[in-house]
Amino acid sequence: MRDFKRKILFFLLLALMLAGASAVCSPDHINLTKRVEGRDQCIAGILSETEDSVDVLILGDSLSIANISPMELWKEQGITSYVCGQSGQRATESYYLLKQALKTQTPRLVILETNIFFRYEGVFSETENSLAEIVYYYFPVFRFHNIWKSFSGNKGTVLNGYYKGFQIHGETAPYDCGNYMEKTEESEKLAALVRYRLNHILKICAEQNIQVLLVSTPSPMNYSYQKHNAIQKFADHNSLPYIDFNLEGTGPDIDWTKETMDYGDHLNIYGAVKISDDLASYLKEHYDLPDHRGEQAYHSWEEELERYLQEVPVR
Amino acid sequence: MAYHKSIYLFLFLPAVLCTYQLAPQKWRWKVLLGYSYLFFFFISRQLILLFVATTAWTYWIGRMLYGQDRSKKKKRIILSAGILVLLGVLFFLKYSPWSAENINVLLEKTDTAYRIPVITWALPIGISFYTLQAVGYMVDIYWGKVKPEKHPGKLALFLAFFPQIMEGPICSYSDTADSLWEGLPVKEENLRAGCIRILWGLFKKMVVADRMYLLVKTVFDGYEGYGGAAVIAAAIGYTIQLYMEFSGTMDIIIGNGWMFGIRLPENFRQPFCSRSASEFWKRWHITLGAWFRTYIFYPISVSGVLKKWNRYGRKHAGKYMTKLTAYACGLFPVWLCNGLWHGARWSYIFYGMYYFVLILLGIAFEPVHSRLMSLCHIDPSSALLRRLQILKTWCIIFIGELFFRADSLSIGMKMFASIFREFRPEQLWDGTLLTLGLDGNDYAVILAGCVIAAVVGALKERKTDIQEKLQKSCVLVRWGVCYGLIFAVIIFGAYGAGYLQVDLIYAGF
Repeated sequence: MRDFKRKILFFLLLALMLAGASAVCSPDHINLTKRVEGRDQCIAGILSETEDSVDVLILGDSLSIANISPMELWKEQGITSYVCGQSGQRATESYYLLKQALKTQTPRLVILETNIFFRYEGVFSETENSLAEIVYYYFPVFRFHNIWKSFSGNKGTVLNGYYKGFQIHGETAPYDCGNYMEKTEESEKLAALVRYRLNHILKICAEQNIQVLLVSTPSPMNYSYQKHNAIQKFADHNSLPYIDFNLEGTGPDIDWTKETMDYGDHLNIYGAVKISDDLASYLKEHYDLPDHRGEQAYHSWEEELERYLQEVPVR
Repeated sequence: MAYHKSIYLFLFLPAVLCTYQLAPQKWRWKVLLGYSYLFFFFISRQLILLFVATTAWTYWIGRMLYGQDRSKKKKRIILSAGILVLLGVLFFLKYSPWSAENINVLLEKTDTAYRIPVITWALPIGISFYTLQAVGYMVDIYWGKVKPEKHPGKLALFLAFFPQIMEGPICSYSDTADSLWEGLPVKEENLRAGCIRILWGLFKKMVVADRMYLLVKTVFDGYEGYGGAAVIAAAIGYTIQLYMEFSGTMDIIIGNGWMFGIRLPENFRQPFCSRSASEFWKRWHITLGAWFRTYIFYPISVSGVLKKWNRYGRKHAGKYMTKLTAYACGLFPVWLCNGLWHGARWSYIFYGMYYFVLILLGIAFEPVHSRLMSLCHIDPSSALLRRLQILKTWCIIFIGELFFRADSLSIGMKMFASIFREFRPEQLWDGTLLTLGLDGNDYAVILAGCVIAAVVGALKERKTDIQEKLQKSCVLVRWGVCYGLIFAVIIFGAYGAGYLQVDLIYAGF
């Protein structure tokens, strides 16, 4: 019995120490000035935002980071948004990121960049990813374990051109392989695990009265009509609005010789501005999102917009 | 599903432990076999069929070799056929694309239009490890050291045991097999010892090796932009990375074994305390060295041809030359096979030949060395000499690992030459090292990790049984070590955002 009690005590102490270490990495302590590494910067970023100040949360992989600029949504319509995107983000990560963001924000709308629907790397990888995300969520010390470096004065590198989760890319590498959205009845299959996590996202949004919008931003390297069909089916099944900017006639025309940074994988700033402006109008038209421009509480957004506009290259 | 991954440590391993413990004792080896095959299937999928065929072949040859009514000659033919098929499969899958490429290069030079198609085959996990175990098993039966296993399932478990299938250690049937099917219950002390050993392995791999990988990758991938001290740093860095990773994984594997009451052989014995290249290989990847010694070096050394040579040589070439030639004949195939075993690359063959030459030179100059020592009145056991010899061995190891890690032999040569061409020692302190993927904090963590590993190594070298001491120590010390290792891995481990995913190096061999 004494032995059993001792074992319990060992694990209890371990849990306490983990909780203590995690408290150091709690939202109160994590911000962009701390040593937060690449993919996790968006988490530190959203946690650094003033509480309940963001009305639109954007989740997705690198397409969301490069293709949707919150500063454009602010400039055009006064909508406050934040891209909680990570390169290669998977649906499980989106789900836990959303949960994390909802600790400090009460958004009215969540935009899902749909490329995450097709990020599936097999059952082991996904299981491992799920395990990691659960542990990261409940014990942030695992995710932000590197902040010990900031205690020694090493603050890490905050990315240049990083605005509310959006990354400015001015470079151009044209795409010239023609039409990539040939109409077909065929449909890509969504992996069961991805569908499972997407349903979790929808559930959490429904519970908190948050609307969900599916958006496919232009990307010849990532999208096809088969994928469009799969997303449309999912959208129809869940009664979700879906905008596919890859379809001809939807949104602005992208000049693939000038408006992609890496041969049709991601848009550059010129393409991103076009898409974001169009998205801003769509949001204004279809959602009841407040225009915060001119409000004292959002003064920092105006300042950030000034810095952003100075950095956006003029064509 | 590598051994350091969460899915293995927190899902697979606990599942095996629970099922194993719940099963009746006589069924426990079957549980291990089932999970071992599941593990194999998870990684290699349909290639498990090849593994099953290899096991069946090994079993059949083993049974054939034991028949009392067969003559020695017949048994030799059976053994040769058994080994040929196993090595043939290994050669075909692992070396045929490389061989075809090299033949095509020769064909190109002879202006022949014909080219051999280069087909790369998928390799089952651990093929280089289980093939050696299977060959060892056959030869041991032939030599009468062991009796063939009657139950094919038990032999299958010996070849497939999940903790060692990926990276070894290469076990001999006589040492390991019985403990695999004993089915001992999971005991608390074994579980505790196993957990601490696993934590120690994770510390070495995740805190030191995976962090060091950033520097190694930066320099080796962009070798054209580096020279001098940066290349030296990368060679030393890779040696540290390889040792910490391979020995760390071994700790995890051996710790896994302990949990089931199975003692797997050690693969490392403080290799950086070695005074010569030959001693180094008795302390580094011990089971591979032992396998080559047992199944290649000794058989050649006692072969008829070498016996004849020894008789002839003593009369005509002198004792020294006869001994040296005999060593050369035995060592050459050992080191050629050692190089080739690591993979189908000229740089690996060079690596093997590098040690062959160094070890042979060591044997050749041994008499001169001894005479010089006595002439200069140097005590061979003096501490200073010992340290100098260790330092010399380190240099040998670092150079060897430089060629081993380089993507090709020519790149290895270029990198080695760049050390002398662009040697600028100031690179060591002018901040150049901070541009190689690691910052000051990283170096501090690596240094601390190496110091801790060195202290543990020094204690082991003095025959201190750390594990036993820890088990006997008071609860505060034991818990302190556990918590220390757990939090060192969590906080200083090179995982998550900002780090690169590092696959197990030896799983690729």
